[in-house]
Amino acid sequence: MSSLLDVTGLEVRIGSTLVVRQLQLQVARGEMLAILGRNGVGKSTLLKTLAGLHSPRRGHVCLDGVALERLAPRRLAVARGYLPQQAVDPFSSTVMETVLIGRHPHLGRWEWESPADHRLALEALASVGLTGFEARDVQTLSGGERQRLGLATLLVQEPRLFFLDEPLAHLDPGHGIAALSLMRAEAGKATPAGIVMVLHDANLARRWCDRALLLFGDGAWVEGPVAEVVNFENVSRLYGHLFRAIDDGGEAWFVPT
Amino acid sequence: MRLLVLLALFVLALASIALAVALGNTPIDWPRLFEPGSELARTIIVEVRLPRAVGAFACGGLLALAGALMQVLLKNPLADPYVLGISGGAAVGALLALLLGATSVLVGSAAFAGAFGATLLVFALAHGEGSWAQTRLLLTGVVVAAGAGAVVALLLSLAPDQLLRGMVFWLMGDASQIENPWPALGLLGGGLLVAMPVARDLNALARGDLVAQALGVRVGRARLLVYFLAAILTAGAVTTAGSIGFVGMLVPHLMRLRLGNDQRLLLPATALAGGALLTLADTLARTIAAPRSLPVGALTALLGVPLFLAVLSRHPRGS
Repeated sequence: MSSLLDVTGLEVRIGSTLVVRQLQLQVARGEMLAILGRNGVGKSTLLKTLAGLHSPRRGHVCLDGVALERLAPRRLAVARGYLPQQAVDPFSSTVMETVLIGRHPHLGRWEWESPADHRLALEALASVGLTGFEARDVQTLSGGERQRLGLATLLVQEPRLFFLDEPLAHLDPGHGIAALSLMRAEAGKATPAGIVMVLHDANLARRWCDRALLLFGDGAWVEGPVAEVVNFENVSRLYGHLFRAIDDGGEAWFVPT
Repeated sequence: MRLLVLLALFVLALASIALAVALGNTPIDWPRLFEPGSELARTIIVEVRLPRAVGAFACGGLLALAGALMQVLLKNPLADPYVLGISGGAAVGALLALLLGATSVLVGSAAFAGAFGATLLVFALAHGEGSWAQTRLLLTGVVVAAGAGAVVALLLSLAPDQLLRGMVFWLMGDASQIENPWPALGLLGGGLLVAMPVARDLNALARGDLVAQALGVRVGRARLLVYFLAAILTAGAVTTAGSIGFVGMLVPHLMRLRLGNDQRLLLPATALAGGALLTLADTLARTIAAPRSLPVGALTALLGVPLFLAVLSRHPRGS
């Protein structure tokens, strides 16, 4: 199977800070990739670059073999979805209006959302546990509810490549696991999606993702299957703190000392 | 439901214009309007009341539509059409022309030139990328408006007494100076025609530039369009009837509280409601203390403040 996301020779900078140098990366359909790294190392900027929302200094990002900059914004939006770290709602708006905005790239200029779009929106709200919230004002939602609404909006967009910036922020452990299994389900559908997400929990990355990209700062990175790269030494180096590996019947859990 | 709301607002708009035409200092014998001997009544209707009513409607619509666009552009519910210094620039132009003894056509042109000059100045100074650009745009606009306010104060203090009253009326907004309302009405129609195809883009934009970009909106292009569209609409209104306050901030809010924030419904509803509000306010302004006519700008606030507070306190959405 050809890879969905193909990254070659990517160099990303924020001002004078180097995020990655010469990054090579592939995400196939059905694969989940975790991006791990310290605060301020440039995870979000890299994610935006991979999603085509930020221009790289060097190198190329291709979606299904086509360079992102050669895709029209609307066509790119049908193929890839992006969940920002923080949702902003300067105006009050209902949950239903907010989730339906995910249909935007699928609709023509004068087209309104169809009953099918509304059904899709209701299904997405149900899958994140927000059934019955349709008429609620987004400004009255809790942080976790707003985060799940963001996920629902993304599901309604129906991309084949998901970019999620800290999708578990504001979520309690139960809803966090539910969000991860929702993404796992998207990756396991008949037409499987690819998932790239920024995470802060190396243990969750190991359990739920197939691959991991570790950003060490100064452009250094390691990428590979989680079982190989998310190990004791790398995790300790990643966070600049000594971790202990606790063995749980063959499964390793990393705990900061 | 959506069509019903727009239809109701359309009827309200027509009713406000009809009321404005019906009321006035000169009593009109309606049953005999089209009989010989009623030429004066017909002249008053066609050449005085109708242009003023239509002009007030157009200006109200322009200001309300521009306000709704500015609020989305700046993602700030407190924004109004004047926030970027447009009315300040227009006032400087108009007062300068009045001071030099220009005719009303020239005053209008000077106001338009001033408004557009301020728009370009703010845009050139606030050019930038990213989330900081929004704050910088807002700050630049506020500072340019303050500068224009200082120039206006200076012009007023230099003005001879016989010009002062006209200048103050211009500043407060005055629909009695409207001679030809049709360009403003055409501008309102044109503005809606330009804004409606990008209304859903604006819905995305209201949720953040990054979200909009991820949904396939060409953010830079959309922001530029909204910025200059709002500027032209405001300049058109200010040129027609002076700087009338409050309509541009109040009406979009009033509509948003009742209808939600879907720009496809909000923009036309705002234009209709803004027009109706200003027409009613102007009718009140010229009948309440007849035969004296009050500046409509003061009336929009007098009418709008209690209306707005009433709707706000009965906020039906959320919770």
